[in-house]
Amino acid sequence: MDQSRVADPALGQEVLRTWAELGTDALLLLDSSRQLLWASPNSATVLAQSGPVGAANGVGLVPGTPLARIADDPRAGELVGRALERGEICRGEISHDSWRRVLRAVAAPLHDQPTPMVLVILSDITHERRLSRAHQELLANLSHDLRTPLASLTLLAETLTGEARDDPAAAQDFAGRIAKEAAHLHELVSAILDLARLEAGAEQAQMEVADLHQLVSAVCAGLAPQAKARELEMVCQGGPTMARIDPGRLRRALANVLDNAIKFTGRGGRVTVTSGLIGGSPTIVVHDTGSGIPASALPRVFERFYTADRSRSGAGSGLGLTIARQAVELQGGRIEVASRPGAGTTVTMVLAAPGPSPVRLVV
Amino acid sequence: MPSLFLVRHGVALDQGEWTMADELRPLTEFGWRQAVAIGRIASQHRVSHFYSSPAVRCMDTLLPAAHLRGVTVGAAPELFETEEPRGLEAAGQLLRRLLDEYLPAGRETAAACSHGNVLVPLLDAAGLRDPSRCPKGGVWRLQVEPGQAEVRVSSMGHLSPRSQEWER
Repeated sequence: MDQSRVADPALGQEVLRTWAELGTDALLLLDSSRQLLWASPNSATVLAQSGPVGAANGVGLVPGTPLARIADDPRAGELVGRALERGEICRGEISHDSWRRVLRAVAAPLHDQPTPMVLVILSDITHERRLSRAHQELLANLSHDLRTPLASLTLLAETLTGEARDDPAAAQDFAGRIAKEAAHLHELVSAILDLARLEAGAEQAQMEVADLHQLVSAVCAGLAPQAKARELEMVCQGGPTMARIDPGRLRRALANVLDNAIKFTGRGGRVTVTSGLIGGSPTIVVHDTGSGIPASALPRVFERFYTADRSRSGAGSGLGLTIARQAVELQGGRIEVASRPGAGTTVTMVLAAPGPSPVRLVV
Repeated sequence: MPSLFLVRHGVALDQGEWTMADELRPLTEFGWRQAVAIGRIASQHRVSHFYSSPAVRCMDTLLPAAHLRGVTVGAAPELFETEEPRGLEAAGQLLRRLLDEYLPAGRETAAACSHGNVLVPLLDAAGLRDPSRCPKGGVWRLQVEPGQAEVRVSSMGHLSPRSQEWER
């Protein structure tokens, strides 16, 4: 390309016009009384509001409109005022659309004009902010969940080699608790790695047609000692039901769900695992008679690290149900939770049938 | 003599570094080291009951000590920070309530973790000299003779970020 053309004013104008039409930033030109002189054609789209009144509905982007009617955050007016007063570029963040969105705002005074003017560039950074918040929450939870057992291990080990050294019964107790904390840490790190692999999409489901009931019986048998230790009755019912599943991942998902059911059901309670066809789909239902989940917490149970009570020791990694959902969804299934405080919790895993017409061996 | 240990939460992330709700603001790495150090003090004094402001930075400050003992930390909303520090009279009332509610019977001891703007007036009401010197991760011991109104208060020190040692 002829480099001299870059300096061509006509080319420059076309570039700016294209940016103003297609770019993701809204450009507003304001006079010294903060009234709109001009808005880029894409401004209506960028500033579109979700409420009944807004730029997208034709309100606010005609010349003469005060800035306060375009951007509802008073900080927008303050930013423009500062840019006019100081004659320099001012940057800030404003909320928009009744605090539902965050906009990055740059107010640049135009110096070579007969009257004072300010160009305001608004960029929607709501998504960026949400991601940053989710990232921060993940790090905070990771840090909390890893540091709690590490801090406990430090103190337990110090006590074991210190005051409990000459007391065999106490030493035994502390050694047991160290093993328990270490197992918890091991479980947590494994869960984090599993989840990272699942979320990265690096894992492929190893699908095969298998008997659901056989798999369910094996998982129940594996967790029976845990249920017995907590004096719970665990019932595994149903008959052979063929399904198209990834047996390894489904075992892990069911073990996580059952582990939760056992942990949150009090002594003398009951955990029932049923496998069979429901509505034509191979399904596993885990029902417990535990304390249940409050309605306010129910939408959050599949979130990473969500635990209703952070002060509990060894209550779990807060990743079990997240991994269960990822694992079930990876094999084309779905998982649902229903609960009422005091009436227990029911987790339903609906899986893929082996073919167009599911085969059911036993009704 | 029954004791109640008052604890100021360990060093937490700066407010400017945290965009979520302030009560979720976590301890820093050094804050966790302070929590472990507080666990040692709690173990030496056989603290058996733990209460805390529901803020994560407070709960986590007592968590290692409670885990060592094999118990949980009870959330105590009255220990959550206030917008304005309490006056001396209101702080005195809260102090009496804490001693009535949290001080276990017999020879057992309790710990309660809170925020600077709750603890400074509380320590003032308890008669501590220079209560404004209330570092993060600090521990104070309140002792009450059974049947007596008088409270004895003493500073147990804190893990200092400067020296990295427990300073009294």
